[in-house]
Amino acid sequence: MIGLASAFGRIPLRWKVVVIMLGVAAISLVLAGAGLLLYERAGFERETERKLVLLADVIGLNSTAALAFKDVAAGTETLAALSSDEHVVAAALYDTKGGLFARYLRRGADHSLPESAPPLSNATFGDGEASLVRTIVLRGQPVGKMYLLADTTGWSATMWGFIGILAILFVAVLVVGLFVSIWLQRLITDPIAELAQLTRRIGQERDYTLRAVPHTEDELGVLVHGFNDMLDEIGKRRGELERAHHELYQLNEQLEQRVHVRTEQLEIANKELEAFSYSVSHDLRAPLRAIDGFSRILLDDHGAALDAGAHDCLDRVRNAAQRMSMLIDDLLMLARVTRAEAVRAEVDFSALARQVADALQAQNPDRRVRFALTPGLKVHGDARLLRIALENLFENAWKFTGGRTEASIEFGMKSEDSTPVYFVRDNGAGFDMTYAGKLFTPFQRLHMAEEFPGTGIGLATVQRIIHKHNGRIWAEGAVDQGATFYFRVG
Amino acid sequence: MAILNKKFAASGLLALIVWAVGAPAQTAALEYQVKASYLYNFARFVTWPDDVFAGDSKFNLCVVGAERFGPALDAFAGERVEGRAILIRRLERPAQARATYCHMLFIGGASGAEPTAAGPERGVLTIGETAGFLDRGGMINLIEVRGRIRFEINQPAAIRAGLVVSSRLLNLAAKEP
Repeated sequence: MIGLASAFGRIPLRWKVVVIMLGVAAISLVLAGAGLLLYERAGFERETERKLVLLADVIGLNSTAALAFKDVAAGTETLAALSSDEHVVAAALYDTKGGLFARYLRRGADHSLPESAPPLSNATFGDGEASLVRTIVLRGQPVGKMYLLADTTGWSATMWGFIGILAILFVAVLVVGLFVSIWLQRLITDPIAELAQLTRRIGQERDYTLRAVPHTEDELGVLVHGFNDMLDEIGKRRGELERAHHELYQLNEQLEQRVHVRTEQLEIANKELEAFSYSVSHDLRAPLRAIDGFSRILLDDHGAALDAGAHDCLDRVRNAAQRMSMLIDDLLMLARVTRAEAVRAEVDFSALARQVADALQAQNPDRRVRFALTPGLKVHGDARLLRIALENLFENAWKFTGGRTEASIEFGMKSEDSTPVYFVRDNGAGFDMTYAGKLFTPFQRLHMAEEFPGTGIGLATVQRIIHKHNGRIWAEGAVDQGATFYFRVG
Repeated sequence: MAILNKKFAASGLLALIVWAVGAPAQTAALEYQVKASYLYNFARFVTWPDDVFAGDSKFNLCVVGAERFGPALDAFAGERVEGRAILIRRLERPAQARATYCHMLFIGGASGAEPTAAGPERGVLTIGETAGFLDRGGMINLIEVRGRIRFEINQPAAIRAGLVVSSRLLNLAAKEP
């Protein structure tokens, strides 16, 4: 059924209408034909029975004298009158005792007649025959029975004639139905086909100004109006959408333009700022050198003339000058790092760490620090910048393990989310995690300068380097429990 | 009716046997049984004028010189003809017929009486069994044709008496020789 339904679904509408119309015509014809045939059959049977009853009664009446006077010859002669009806196959007269009295057989008929009278019956039909048994009455008294057997060949002629007429009617309905369908098509399917065609065109050309023409004011007209309204609405929405799109596009353009301008301005400002800070740092060195140099000359050449108080003052001046020089060095480095572009290559990170550790040890030969450096670590990055980062981290660790008798600095790698995370760990003074967020801010220091000298720029520099590698840096630690700096290179 | 039918069947069968054996006495008895049933059947194919029946009178079947019938005729007494019960009347002479209101008068061959002995009576069907009975004014005459009892009818005489003989009976009647 599903296959049939889907097959029907693919037929064009115009043929569906034809198929449905002809189907309905065929069904009604068959039903009407069957009904009429049944009615005709009933009529035929009624007519046959009426005829047989009439025949039996007339022949019976004519046989009464023969029956009464036992005149078989006269009875047979009376029955012979039946030969005028071609449909009567056989007939018999039975006397009051039910014995066979006289018989009639149609010429050429080979039929055995019951020897004793069959029970009375109205016309019974079967197998192309109809039979009947009637009582023969003479003045209100039965004198015998009459048996009649007739063929019903008349029926098959009627039936075939009927079927022939039905067949002709069917063909006629088919032809007329075809014409009517074609006419109906103009009325119903053509507007729909037109609408379908228009839908296809709109789908292909995206032309929402096209409109369907209503031919009628029935449901199809409503459909066409609805379709046109829908097109109006779509066209309107489309216009609005296009306008909104255009506005958005313009806004975007403006925004990009603005971003571009601002970025340029920002870059210029940045460059100016860097140049400024570099030149400031650089230019600050000269007066500092003068302060330090002349303070030293004053001490060397005129030290004897000065008292202890003056010596102390001059020492303080020199210390301050040296600290400021250090500060300027760090600031210059930060500025350099900020300006530098990361040029990436394969770097032997472990070897780099070893060099940094060795240099640190060489600068401070009086301290003993245990270095645990994981060998064979590689990293894809800028070797120069990464060296600066490691120098700062190692220096940091070196500085904060100053108070430890068993100082140790560790460099290694662990995997986190299948990406390498490098770390530098020490067992030094550590820090309070509450201030972990401030570690990488320039000039922010978590320890007293007297305890651990420093400028507060080192970790800020490290963070800039890691950011230039699209990485991230963070720290873990606790007071007197050491600190660990983790970083990841993107 | 059942009795009558039995008689019919028996008479036909026995007549054949008797005819073969050729016993005259037996034959005569059977012959009159058949004739008795013929009398009854004639009554069924003839229509009498209404005025011959008075009130609730019976159908009077009169016989003259018909001793040979024996009890065969009595079997039909009480059977209904024209809606009236048959009453068998055995008369001495045909002349008594008028007083007896006979509707049917059988004149036996032994009586020697003439068919018109009862006079020109309206509404009386006269039946005989002697040659020339019709010629002498009788209406139905029983004859023997090839061992079978047949009858001949004088329709004009019946019409004159106001009787209507059914065409079916006329068809069955033996044609005049």
